[in-house]
Amino acid sequence: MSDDPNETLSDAEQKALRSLAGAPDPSPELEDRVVAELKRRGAIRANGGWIMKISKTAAAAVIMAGAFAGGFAMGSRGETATVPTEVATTTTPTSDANQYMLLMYMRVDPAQAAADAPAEDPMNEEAYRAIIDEYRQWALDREKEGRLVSAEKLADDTRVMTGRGDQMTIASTIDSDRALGGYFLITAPSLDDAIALAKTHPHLKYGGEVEVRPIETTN
Amino acid sequence: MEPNSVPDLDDARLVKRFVRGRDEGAFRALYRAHTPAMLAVAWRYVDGDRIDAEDVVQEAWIRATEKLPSFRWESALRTWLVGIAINCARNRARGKRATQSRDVDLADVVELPAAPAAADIATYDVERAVARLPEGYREVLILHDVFGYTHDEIARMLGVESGTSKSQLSRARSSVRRWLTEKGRIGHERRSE
Repeated sequence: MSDDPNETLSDAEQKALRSLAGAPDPSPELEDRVVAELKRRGAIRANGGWIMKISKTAAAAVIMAGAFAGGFAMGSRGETATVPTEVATTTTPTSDANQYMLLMYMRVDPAQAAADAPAEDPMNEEAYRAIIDEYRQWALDREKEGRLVSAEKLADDTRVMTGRGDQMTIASTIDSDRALGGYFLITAPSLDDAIALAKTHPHLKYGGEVEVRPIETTN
Repeated sequence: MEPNSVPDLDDARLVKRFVRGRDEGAFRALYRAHTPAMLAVAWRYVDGDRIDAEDVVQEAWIRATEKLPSFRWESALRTWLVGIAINCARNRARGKRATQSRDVDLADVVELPAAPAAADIATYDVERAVARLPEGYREVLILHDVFGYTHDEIARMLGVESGTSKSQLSRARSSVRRWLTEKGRIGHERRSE
């Protein structure tokens, strides 16, 4: 056992010394200042590059999950879908209208995917909620117009089969720089009208891509 | 790796992302996790000057991001970051003192707080006692007794042997006690132990 009288502190000494630890919180602007300096030096990728695309894509993925979570399915899964009250009172799509699939794509960075780590998104929860509401409102508006047939979010877990017989392979990733996150099946008088409608979808505003595909009838 | 320390998986994941892609989100997460500890130490070195302390933190992050790709995880990330902040703070504090006087006593250049109310007298006296310590002693005492770092962590931060940290702490405590006793601040309490 040591006989050094300085090996221990009395409670009062300990308390007094620990009281010196007080320091203010970092200024809120310091973080942005440091980030800006690191960007200037090239240590952080500048805004406008793929990093921001990933950031917005991640937001879009979450947004889509939220937007679809309420359930807008009226078509193939119409009997079991959970339909919001305000949606249930709307009209059924007319049968003579053309149907168009609006496919919601998200940009994916292969290196990010390989890192097995979701991108951090600087947006706060309040901002997410506002955007989710925007997606939901878009779907509700189409529903009220009688144009929405169904809408679903697709899970990230995917299986891609290629080849045939013994040569068939099944992969759990797609060799692509974009991923399909969900779809809206709508009705419109023409392809131009469907495109015009697709242009109003908030998915575009938040970095996603929308593909419009006419449904081709085979009978 | 410091004894008994376990790699922080979040830190490792974020560093990997940052190094791989210069990822802003990963950096911001690291910044938010470790800046308070870096600023707290810097704050002590620059005598409570907020502007100086935040400049130190910025410089420390710049250096850290340059060195992160070669960080070997032989210490906790926070220990390493605080060590960098200390080096930056030392340089700034020395530069500041040099512009004022080369031979002046440390305690004379430390800007002490205004005399506090009676209830805060212990903190005020300890502040003065610590400010009078030689720099090496003061560093170890602040890191160990004020911020609670271990001798192994301090050795990493300051680039000294763990035994040096221990002996400096002992001398620092002795010096602080002597000064406080002379001022009649702790005599009664220590005699009653």
